[in-house]
Amino acid sequence: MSNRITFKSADFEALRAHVLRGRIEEAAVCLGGWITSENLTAILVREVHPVPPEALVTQSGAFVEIDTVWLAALIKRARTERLSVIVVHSHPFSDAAIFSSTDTDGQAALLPRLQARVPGVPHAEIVFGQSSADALLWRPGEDDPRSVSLLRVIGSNLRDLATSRTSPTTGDASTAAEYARQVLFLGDEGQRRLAGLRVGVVGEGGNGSPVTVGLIHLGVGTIVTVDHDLVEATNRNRIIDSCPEDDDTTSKVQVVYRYAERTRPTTKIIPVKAKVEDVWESLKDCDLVFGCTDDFSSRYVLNRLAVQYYIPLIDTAMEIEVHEGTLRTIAGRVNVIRAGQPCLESLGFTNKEMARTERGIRRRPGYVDEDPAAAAMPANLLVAGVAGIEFLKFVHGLLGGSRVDRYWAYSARSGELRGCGVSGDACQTCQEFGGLGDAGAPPVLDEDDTQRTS
Amino acid sequence: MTENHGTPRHNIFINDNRYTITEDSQTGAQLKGLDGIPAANTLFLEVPGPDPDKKIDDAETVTLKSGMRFYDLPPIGRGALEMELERLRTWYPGVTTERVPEGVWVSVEVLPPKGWVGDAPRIGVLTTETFPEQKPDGFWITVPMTTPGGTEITGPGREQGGRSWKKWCWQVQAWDAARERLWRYFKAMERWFVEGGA
Repeated sequence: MSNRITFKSADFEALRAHVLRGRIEEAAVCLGGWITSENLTAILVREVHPVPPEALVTQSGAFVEIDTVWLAALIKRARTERLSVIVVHSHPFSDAAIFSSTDTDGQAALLPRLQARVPGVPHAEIVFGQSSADALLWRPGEDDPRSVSLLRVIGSNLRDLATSRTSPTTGDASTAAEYARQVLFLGDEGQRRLAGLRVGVVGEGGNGSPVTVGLIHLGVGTIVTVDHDLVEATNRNRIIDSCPEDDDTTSKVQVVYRYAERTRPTTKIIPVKAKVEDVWESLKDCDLVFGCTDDFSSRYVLNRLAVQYYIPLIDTAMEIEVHEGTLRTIAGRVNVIRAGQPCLESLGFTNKEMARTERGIRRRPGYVDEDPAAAAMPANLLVAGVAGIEFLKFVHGLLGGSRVDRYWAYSARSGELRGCGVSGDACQTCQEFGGLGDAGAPPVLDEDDTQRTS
Repeated sequence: MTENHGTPRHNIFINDNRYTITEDSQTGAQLKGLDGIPAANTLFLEVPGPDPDKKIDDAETVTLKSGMRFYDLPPIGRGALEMELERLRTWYPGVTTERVPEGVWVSVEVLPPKGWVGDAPRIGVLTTETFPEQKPDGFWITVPMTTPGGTEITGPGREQGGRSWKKWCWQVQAWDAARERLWRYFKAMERWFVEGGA
């Protein structure tokens, strides 16, 4: 079980800049959504409120006191909206900050009151030093705090900052011959980080299969693989390791499990044979999710997960366009969707209307997909390859990280793989004070959806 | 709510604990006392809707109505005095601390100035959790101590940690709270003691 606090990059930088702006202690209060699951308690910071000078009772190089009236107003909001409260301050003269006995005494006095005012919600405290921070988290109903293992910052890359007491979760990565060529550019630490990750792959069809196989071979520690379909003869041309015996009997996620068991048994595969909105719980403690479905409704749900839970989403799409028997083009797209940046709805790749319309068509009595999409593994491999490289850039910050202002589009006709500009404002879904970081329930779409993989 | 014979009975809640009050009004201090709320804490009256909850000062009189809900918050102080002490320990042996009514008593072992005689001499400083916002007031040395001329230093002082102490009323003139550290203050006091004494 790990505890973490996740920030959007801009919020984190603003917070740190405020509390470490001088040589005297400063303070701030953050409000956030929260996740509790079997494996994780996380607070998703939605708002950062620097304590203004007029709301400081005392301020010095070694002490700061926040006006309770100022704080009470934020606690009231947290109570109304069931938000986590994080009290933040700085020890500007410390490099690796840890909580002092003064801090601990103050926490012991505040937390019971906070838990009484905003019950059933985790709360936390952070103290920043110049080079690292200390953080504690109180789970609902618990008197004693737990160490926060890391502060996660989502921006061009997935930065995990170790707290003064702990190290980021890293897995048991073998750095032996198997990964020798990767370690050349990831380093031992990077390889261990992969082993500590929990990655979701939704859709184990044409795009999902090579994406998952790539993750297995990279050495990702845990993969939650989601698909509710059985293997059919018509999709064996692009599902790695599928064979005729699997037709109509073996689930796609079982093929993944079987492959990993044979090739890299240390990878933990969690197969989930279900539709995406039914596995919201299984995905919400993932570090990152790949969207490998090829329909608006699944994409809509995953986009919501990325926005509401601060779980970065690498969305993949591939299309082989055929018109009256003539190949028009082969196209692919890869987007890295992350909190604080435009989401798939903002960019027009899905929305509720599109998702509902699609479902409506599929729900019609006697609906049969009479116009199956053309598909071939080389196109899927291209998309999976780009997605895999973006994954490595994003997780490790390689080559400047995964650019927030670009997504990737491929056209076989032009022979170009282009970085397309991400522009436009945040939509209702991903805007501040919208669903961003609210860790709310999954969107409700019509039933009887068919989650179709590419 | 009022009983038949005109005796008021107001059911109010403080920190979710229910109290039945027979007076029509109470001061903030009285309400705090009902729920055992520490005097340093701030009492609030819940205000329905989006407006901020109302702070109730100790001397403020609240006209009670049944259903009123109060709660308190403690002072939200955070500080690094412990960090200061950690640093001090890297400079001086035998650092001891003790919470006293005026703040925190901190003392260290020092060598006496040349020619001075004292038993295990120490320098002590009375500081507060808000150091360095609040400048310590001089420093203290353990007594008895004998000067090179044979004069024994005694005089008014304090008893602390099983030792007798005499106050040295030397003051730092320029005080920049943003820059001062406890170890630096002790260094300055020690230097003054050693140089001034010798």
